[in-house]
Amino acid sequence: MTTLSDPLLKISQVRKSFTGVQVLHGLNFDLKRGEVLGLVGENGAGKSTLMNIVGGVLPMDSGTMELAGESYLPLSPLCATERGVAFVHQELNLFTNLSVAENLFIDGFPKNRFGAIDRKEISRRTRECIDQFSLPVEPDTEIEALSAGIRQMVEIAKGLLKNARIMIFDEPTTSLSKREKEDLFKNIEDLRAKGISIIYISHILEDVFRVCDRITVLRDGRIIETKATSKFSEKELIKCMVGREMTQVFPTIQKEIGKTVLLEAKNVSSGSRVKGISLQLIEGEIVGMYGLMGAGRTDLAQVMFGVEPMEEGEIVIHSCPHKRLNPRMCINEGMAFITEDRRQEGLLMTKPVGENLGLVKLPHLLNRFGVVKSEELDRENRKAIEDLRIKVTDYQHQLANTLSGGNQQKIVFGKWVMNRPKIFILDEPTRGVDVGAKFEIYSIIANLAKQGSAVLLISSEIEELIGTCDRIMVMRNGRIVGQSLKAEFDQEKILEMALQGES
Amino acid sequence: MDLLKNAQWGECLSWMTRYGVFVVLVMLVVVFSLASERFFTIENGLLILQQASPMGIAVVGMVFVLLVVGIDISVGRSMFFIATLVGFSITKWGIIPEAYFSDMRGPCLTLGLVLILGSAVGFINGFLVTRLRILPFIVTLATGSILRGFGLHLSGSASINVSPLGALSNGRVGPIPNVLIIFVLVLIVFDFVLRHTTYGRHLMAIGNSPRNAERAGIRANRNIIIAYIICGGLGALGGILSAGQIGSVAASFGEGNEFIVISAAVLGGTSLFGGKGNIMPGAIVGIILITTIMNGLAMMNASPFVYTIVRGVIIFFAIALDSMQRRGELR
Repeated sequence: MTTLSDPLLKISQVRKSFTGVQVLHGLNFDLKRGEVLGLVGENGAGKSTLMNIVGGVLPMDSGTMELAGESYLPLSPLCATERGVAFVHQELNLFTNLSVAENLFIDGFPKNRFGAIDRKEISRRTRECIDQFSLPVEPDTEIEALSAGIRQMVEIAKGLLKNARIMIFDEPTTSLSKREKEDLFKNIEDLRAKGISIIYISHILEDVFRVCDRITVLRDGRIIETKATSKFSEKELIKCMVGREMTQVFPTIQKEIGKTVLLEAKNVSSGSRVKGISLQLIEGEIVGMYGLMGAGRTDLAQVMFGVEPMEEGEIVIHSCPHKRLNPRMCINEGMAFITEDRRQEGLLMTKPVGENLGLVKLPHLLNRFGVVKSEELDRENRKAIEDLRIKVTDYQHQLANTLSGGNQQKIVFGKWVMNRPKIFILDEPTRGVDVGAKFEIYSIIANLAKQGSAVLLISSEIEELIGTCDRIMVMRNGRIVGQSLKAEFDQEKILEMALQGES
Repeated sequence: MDLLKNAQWGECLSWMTRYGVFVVLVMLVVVFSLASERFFTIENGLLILQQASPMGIAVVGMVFVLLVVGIDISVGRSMFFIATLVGFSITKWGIIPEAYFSDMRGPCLTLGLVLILGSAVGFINGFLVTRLRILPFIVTLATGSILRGFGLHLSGSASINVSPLGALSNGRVGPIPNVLIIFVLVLIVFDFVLRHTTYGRHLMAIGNSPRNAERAGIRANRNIIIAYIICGGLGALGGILSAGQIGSVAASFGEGNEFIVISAAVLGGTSLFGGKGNIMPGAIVGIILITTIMNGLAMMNASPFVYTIVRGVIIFFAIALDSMQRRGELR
């Protein structure tokens, strides 16, 4: 027997790991009927993974889920929808080339007796839906013509049409205007009034406090705290999110910060994610860049390396100002860019280690006939493998994809280091790398700085930044909202800036 | 300020992709009419439609494949291979005896055979694209080459007589060419399939976002294979009608037809990036535009080599427009 006070969704001991790294450590989690539950945590805390499991996007490794007292094991998103769990993703699940009506019925068109789609029927039912939520659209409007906020309302309507009992919102306000946001909150109120349970994931604490009845804090794949919203203060919430012990060991390498400014960005803007950024990278200094998902860190790195165009401002490299940059220029100026996605951007996975290492340096290793000086390349390769302690048995034949994540990342470092750059931009260099290899990568970074390079280290892990950097800058909404020096590093303060800094 | 400019530019682009082809067509008709008095006549209009119909049928099939970010460049070579087989079936193997062509049996058997063969080729293409996950361009480049090889091997590169098909391909019902009737039937049926059936809408969805389609439980692979089957079948149908118009299948038959077919689809507003396109009016206008260029230039006694240059320039603009517009899209 289930009663109204029983939880609608009960999750017990859910575990999940990706390629050997445990991301969810046996979570227990309840969702009551008609409540709005906020789910907060740092990047990589496991919020999305958990919700993807509930939404049928990912399978869990072990554990059980119960929906209204019955076993719930969604094998696909469609399966979850049928059981009444609707997932409103950050990127909506709409087809922009189809009409509102077609989108609402895409997974089950009513048909007329000729086997064709019953346009009248879907129009009529869509019209009902539109009236019910007072959506400012016509059934035949193509999604393409709608704004982000209205698209989201269509997506919500789609869930309700399927009799959703639970709606999961993943960062629903990131692409909404202020007014659209208000409309969304009103919609959420209405949904709750209808007895629908809502899981609300967001980085914007202000919104979480406003719409949620209870808040659950996730950290490192564990639930830290669940309390009624009124019992939380923002300070306390942030404390829960970061309250991590500094257990990890970081290399201690004595180095000196020089005087020369190697790179300076002056009021750089590009698109909506990089707005008037100014910063300096000094010889021998490791500068951390913290920010939550979508803060614009990666976009900034891409602008600095000339991958994305700079719309305003200038970048001074070795005291030579540039209004326009491209990656080739940056490489020639002695910059290196190590990207977060080494599988796609950094490495040729199906090529031998040696070939990967030589990639950047290669143009400088040609003899006068344009042929590669293979002896010199070999020497460079061996040096890089030794310096960086890359674990490879036969670098000329072993393919990059046979190595562990840490060693792959070291190859990426190796190919850049060979070119002896002075400025490093590192974007999440330790993502998906095990603890041991992380330590080695920190050592490499520290050594680069010791040899006089300037390093910009972008990371989502505060403790990693605290452990390795001389200075940490915080980005939010495309702006730098704060900076903290080594002496005053404080996890809570940094997260606080990232969450609510003036922008 | 910049935003405003961008918005206007985007609107301008979208207007051009939607109506540009009509403007160009009208302009061409005016130019050709001024250049040659024989151009703007009912008879010549019907002739253009008669010339356009066979390839037009193939364009309809191509739209289906392009919608799911595919491409079928084997279509011209498959036309050659299948026309060769049909030619041999009539003249050598006696599978469709010439006598049958005195009544409806000949044309019906031929069309049936052609549809089966074409669909089989399409199935192979679709299977390789979806199951083995090979790029459509490469798959169809390879299958096209293989089919052409088989065809040449059979014919020994000699021209094959298919004159019995002439009655079907060049005949008229009153003033209306037979091929035009077939083209119009194909248009009606497949426009309906695309617009008003679950299959058609799912195809649009897959082209728009394969990931979302999968999340919505749409069976992408199966639908994509069917698109290639439609493309193969209609391509073969268009090919045999075209062969019938000529009366023989030369070794060069079908070469470059894939280019005509794909560019007609793109001119008609079908995007090479998938998810966007239509049969009516797109496929019709596209093929008529290309045929008009060839017809008009012939009327002006232009060198036949000029065709390819003019066609190339127009196609370049159509595809450039397609690419530019795609960049501004929010999916």
